[in-house]
Amino acid sequence: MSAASRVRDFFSAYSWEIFLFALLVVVVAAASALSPLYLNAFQILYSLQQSMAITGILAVGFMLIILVGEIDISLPAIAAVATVSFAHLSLMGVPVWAAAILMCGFTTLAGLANGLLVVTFSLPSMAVTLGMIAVYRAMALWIGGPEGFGADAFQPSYLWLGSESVLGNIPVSLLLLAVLFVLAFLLVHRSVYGRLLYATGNNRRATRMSGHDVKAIIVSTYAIAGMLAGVAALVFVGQYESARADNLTEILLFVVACIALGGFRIEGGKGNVIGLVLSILLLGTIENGMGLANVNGPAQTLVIGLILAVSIVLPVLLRKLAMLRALAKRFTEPRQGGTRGAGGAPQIS
Amino acid sequence: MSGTILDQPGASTTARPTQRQWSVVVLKNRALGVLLFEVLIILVFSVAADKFLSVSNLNTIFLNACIMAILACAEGVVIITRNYDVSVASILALSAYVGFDVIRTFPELGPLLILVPLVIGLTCGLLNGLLVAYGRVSSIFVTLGGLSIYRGLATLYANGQQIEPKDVPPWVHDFVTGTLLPGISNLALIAVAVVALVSVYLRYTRIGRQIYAIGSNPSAATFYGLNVPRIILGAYALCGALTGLSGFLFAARSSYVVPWAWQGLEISVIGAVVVGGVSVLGGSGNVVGAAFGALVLATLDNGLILVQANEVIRELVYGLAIVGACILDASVLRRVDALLKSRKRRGATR
Repeated sequence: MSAASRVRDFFSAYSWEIFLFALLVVVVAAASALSPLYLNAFQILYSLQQSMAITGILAVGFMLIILVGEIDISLPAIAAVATVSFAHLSLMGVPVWAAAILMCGFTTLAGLANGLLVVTFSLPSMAVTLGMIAVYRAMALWIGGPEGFGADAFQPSYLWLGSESVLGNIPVSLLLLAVLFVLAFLLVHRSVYGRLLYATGNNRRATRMSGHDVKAIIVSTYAIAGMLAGVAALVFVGQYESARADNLTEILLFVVACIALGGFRIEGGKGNVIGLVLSILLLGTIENGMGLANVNGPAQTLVIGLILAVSIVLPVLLRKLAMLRALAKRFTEPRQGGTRGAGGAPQIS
Repeated sequence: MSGTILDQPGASTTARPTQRQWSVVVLKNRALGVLLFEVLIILVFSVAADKFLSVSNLNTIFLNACIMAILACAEGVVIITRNYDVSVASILALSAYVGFDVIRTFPELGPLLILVPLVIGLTCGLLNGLLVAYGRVSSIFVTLGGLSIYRGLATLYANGQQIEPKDVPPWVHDFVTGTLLPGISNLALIAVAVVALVSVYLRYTRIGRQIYAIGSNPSAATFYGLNVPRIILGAYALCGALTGLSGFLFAARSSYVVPWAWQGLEISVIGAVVVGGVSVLGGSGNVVGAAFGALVLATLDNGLILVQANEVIRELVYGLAIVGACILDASVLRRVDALLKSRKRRGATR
């Protein structure tokens, strides 16, 4: 294969990721032009941690479920149960490692329950997890009460993951997110399990026919996403120093925006981890820039929505454009074909 | 959401005839089943709480359910086409606030202005529908974007203001609380009329049947020659317009209108649709059922408060009702699927 065609292949296979990267460069340039405060490593890291650490951790789990063609919109509610439980455990004097293991175990079970509901009764995952939102919120309300917990509920060790920095100003939660990205990359793109995720998302029947337990694969993605919701809850506790049953209600929009912008399709089997990383960086940078430019809250929500809409419309337009180009090609080629046909006609007659 | 492929083919074809009949009866009378469930919970609550069965309380439940019934009906049309609209709460807020602002600014135009929220809702619905139908993108992604866009627009438009009842002309409130027929509130009349009209439209007109056809098998509908994108666009437009109407009604009933109100309402609306027996896999169920679903949820809400259940129990019952309805729906559909398969098999051997 020639070098030129290899480059062309690379560009066509990763066109969306390249587009995201270009957009990221543009946004970074715009942000540093708009605000002199932007280009500062500490500022950037802090802002990314504030806006994207929790979203990113949830999005990694969400991505696995999306890859197999299902959805779980109750992940933020599961994380909310974990946050109030962390507060309780902290007040009871449980050391943080034990609490983390306990709660990640619980959230894994919660994810497992969602997954089992979806596969055993073959239910539509959107509707079921919608119902499960109410169930988990009820659980969070039962554990946390209507007031929830403030900063005084937490031992300092509980706050470490979400608030401290190591190695000279790198927030721990951002480091954790980076590690999760690497793990997710290895899992999705360098393991048999990852290939099975794509296979399940692309053609469930064929995957089952080739002897794989599709139901187990689907349930496993729900369990992993559940576990990550527990991790996100610990980060949340550290970042906001509070825990309430109605925490994390707004975050679903951002998670889905990351997934949609990252090039994933809700039917499953499409998108990759690089796209997710780029879309999270992009959204984080845009939020950072808007914050520095004093854009108010509602306008920020509007912009996120518009980005989501653009990320949906753009591939469609590109596809239409490619179709038009192919059509135009066909219109120019038949003329050659036509002369050939005319040349062949006398032979037939 | 593909979930049906998980069914083991042939696993339940051995179902006994009695089971088949049970499933068909349930399928054909879903709305009736929801109504029966409603009667059941009314009976339970009337035993558990003595204030429950008073005329004024039942009236309260019904009036509370009316607007939700219109919304459930609107969402139901979209869900029958195998799509979702999760932006209804935001459309509601946008059309309510902007509509009331226009009514406040031009009081001399009178009740004609009721069209304003309707048109705003229609526009939002058309935007959603254009992206879903012609972009061929998942409706959840699209309408989640819509959710934040419409909410953001409403908040920016309001600019921190709120509209109070005294700001709008009195016809607004008379429109909702008045009684055109003696003893029956206009709100109830509107709700019943809307649900009945949409239901008849879906049941007896060509486009109505096409909506069901698209929901039950989109590719078959395309091969049959239906203009699938246009019909889906129409479903979203209808949903948007009805949401705009609900926005007006909600605003006219509430003590003040703010752009950040009704957040998370889409969960209750989709819940009502699911409880009302409309399959989220599309193509089955009807909007009368969805309206009854709204009535069931309103009754549960009211009854659980009267028996002094705390919010934990209320949320829990709510969630379990939705999950339970999903499970029931899936098992009925599976039985019917098996029945259809065995019929086809018998037809082939003959």
